[in-house]
Amino acid sequence: MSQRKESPGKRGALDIRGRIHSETGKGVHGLTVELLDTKFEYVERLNPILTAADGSFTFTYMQEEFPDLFGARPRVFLRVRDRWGGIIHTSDDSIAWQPGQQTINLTLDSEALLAHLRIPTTWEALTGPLIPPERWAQIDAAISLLAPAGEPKHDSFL
Amino acid sequence: MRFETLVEDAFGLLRGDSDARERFTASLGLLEQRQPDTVLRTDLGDIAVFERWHALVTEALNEHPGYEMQRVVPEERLVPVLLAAVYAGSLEPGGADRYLSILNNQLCGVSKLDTVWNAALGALGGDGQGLTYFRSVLEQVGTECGPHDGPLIEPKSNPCPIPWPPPRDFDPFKIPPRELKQILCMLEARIEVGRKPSLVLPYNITAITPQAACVGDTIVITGSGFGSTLQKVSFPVLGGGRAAVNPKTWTNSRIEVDVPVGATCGNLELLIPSGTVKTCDGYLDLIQPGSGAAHFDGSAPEIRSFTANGKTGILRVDPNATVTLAWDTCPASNTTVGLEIRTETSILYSQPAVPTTGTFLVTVPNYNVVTRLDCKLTASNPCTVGQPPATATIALAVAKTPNLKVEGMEITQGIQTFWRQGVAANSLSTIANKDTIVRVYVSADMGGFNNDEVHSVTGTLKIGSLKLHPINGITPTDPSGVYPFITARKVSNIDRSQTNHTLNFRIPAYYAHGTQSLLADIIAPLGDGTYQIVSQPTSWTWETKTAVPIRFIRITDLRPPPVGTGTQPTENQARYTLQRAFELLPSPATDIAPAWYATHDTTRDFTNSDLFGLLQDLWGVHAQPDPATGQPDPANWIGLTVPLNRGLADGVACVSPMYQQSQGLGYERIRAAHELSHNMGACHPFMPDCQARGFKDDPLDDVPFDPYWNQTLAGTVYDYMSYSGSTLQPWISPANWNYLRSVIP
Repeated sequence: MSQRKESPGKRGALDIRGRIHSETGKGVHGLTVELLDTKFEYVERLNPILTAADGSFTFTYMQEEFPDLFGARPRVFLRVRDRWGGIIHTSDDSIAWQPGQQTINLTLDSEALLAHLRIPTTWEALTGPLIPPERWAQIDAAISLLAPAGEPKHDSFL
Repeated sequence: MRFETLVEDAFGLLRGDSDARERFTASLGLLEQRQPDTVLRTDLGDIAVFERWHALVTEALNEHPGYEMQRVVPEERLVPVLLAAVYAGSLEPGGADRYLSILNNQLCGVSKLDTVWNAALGALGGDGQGLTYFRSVLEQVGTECGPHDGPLIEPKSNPCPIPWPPPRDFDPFKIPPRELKQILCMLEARIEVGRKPSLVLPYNITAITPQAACVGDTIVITGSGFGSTLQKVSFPVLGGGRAAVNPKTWTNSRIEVDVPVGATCGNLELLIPSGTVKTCDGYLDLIQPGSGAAHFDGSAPEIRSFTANGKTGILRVDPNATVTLAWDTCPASNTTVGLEIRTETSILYSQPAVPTTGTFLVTVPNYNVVTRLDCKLTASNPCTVGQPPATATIALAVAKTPNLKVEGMEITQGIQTFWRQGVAANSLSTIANKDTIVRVYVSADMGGFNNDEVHSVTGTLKIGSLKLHPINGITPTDPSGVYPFITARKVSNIDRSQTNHTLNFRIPAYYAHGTQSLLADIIAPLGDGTYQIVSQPTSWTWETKTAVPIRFIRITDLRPPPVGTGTQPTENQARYTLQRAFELLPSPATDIAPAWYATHDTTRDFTNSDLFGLLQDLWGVHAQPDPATGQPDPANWIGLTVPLNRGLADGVACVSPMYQQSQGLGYERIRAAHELSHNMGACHPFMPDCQARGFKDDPLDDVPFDPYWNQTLAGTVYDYMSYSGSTLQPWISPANWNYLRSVIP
């Protein structure tokens, strides 16, 4: 499901922004959002972007950077890929390339997001030492299966 | 350097915190100093080079389908740091590759642990092959270690499988997959951040007006490169966090924003996104770094630090010492700071306006007793009108450092020689398998300060590996009344007859045998949360003596009423009486049991003459054969009665009233021990024949310690075989202790 809204926006710029969220309303991090023209003539120049942690994305095209597009005014549409490159959404409507701001909010169902969310999406700040203590403990436990400390030759080369 | 700090700063940096960026790059610079010189290539050109490598590495990794290897350093820890290194480096020429190179060098040593750890997991799986492989991995690692598990004296050159940046002849198909995974993460970070054009144009703040403002007031941020899209402004807040707020207006060069609740001094950050990057299968949002005069002076006053000689909380200082108080408050532009130093009753110093950041030297008065000085800093500004000021307090505990000393350790089972002129301390033997009390004498000397008294001194006593705690305060009637603290005092003020002038420990009978090392650790608080600890070791040997066998007969008082009571001691009462009796005797109380003739009914009057008749009754039975052995019982017999009467003993049997806890300290406490001792040949010291044997009817020279009641017997104490001072608590004398030792095998 998608919702679209148009507003004047900045002069001389096409600003397409929005948010992609799941059915729970939570933003989806790391989806690739592509802006494509319907004739696929400018695909190489319209770089895809990734959604932020809150699911938001923003495309901004300044007229001075893309004079030919502002001249040709192609119609463009959105396509969304998951982390594996699978296409999980293609917008039904196309947008006219003209200065102004377009807001597009998408709700993707759980089936579409299943593969993307299969592994954690966001790197979180963890605390603790470089090597977690439990990993040292596992190495120690394995060493104890060999010659235990206190026995002859426990500290010599195996 | 702590890795946690590096990770924290990495996240701060990725979220636009310029202070975190400075700390992070400084940390990497320090790490660089620790590694061998490397020449960093700067001819890498553009991102396309890395993209080609990325494609190659991906292809090489695909050669290992299903390859899964856990890393000893979890990716959650590693990836943000790699990404932050690239991000920080992207602001300076060649920086991204320099920082990645530093991290790569630091981490390549860790990569060997990946192999060890994965092999360890295999070994723990219970598979014999896994164990063999783990052994072989350790063998390999062992050959790469120097003596005593230290580093090799001549480290191998180029220890990293893949240097960063990869060399021109880099062939990912020759690289182990675990290394490929790491380099893939690094390449992804490098490429993703390298694609961000916004990084070369960070925003710049030229002014914040006003510099300080109260919560809800509007400040204006001016500068350049803010962009035209409204974003959030991040304020530092009290407690160390940050608050992101929506500004009222936003243009490329001017932002108006209201100061949020809790805002304090520090750099403001404009949360201008510079995109989301994918590295190592996870995503992170980047915030544009900023530059310029981003310092906001704060809102309500904050005392950022207040220290005395660099410390917070409580500081112990000597009388007459000089202490440096130092503080830092904000906002610096509009805060009034006051300093007051006071005791509980008087103000020593008060200054209502000191600099917002400053120091003050305090000369502590030459107090002669422990005194607490409270140093209080207050900060107020227009934002706190009608509210209490911010305050911070440091306590100065004025006290001299005590010269604590263990003057000695008395080791006693009730009676011991100690602290007597011309008499060796601890010259009496103690007997194995009996509870033993150790009294630790602790003195303090502070040149007269605080009357040389240090309160709340405690400690432990180790016997072998067993650690004992003080028993001070514990009594049979108050077993939970332990108060394991004493006042250490000048040695001349220690009174041996005072139970709590020493720290007292009980060595349980089970541990009292052979020769044992004892170690007293005495701990004295210094008033600032730190302690002075003094230790005193010693060694002690217990003498082994047999347990004197005692059999008891519970006597029923069948005299006609009203004199007779019809009562008979219970078995528990009989045992209790005898266990207390053995606390005076140099023999373990471990051979106590009912006689084969367990009870005896009597109508005899418990007068002197008739008590002897009762004793004769017991002799008569004692001479009869034990039905179990067919022989008379060789053990001593004791007849125990309930009502109070005198005791009587002669030969192999005796009669004594039972003793109960409710009778407390007093003559009844020792009566059974007295009668049993007669059976072992002890005599009344007031009798001429006894005195002829060398016994004296004098008060004891040493202070007994009742190991049951956990207390000293203060005042005049006579020997338990004496009738002198019979209303007092008597105790066994050293002479009788040694006599009984001589007759007990």
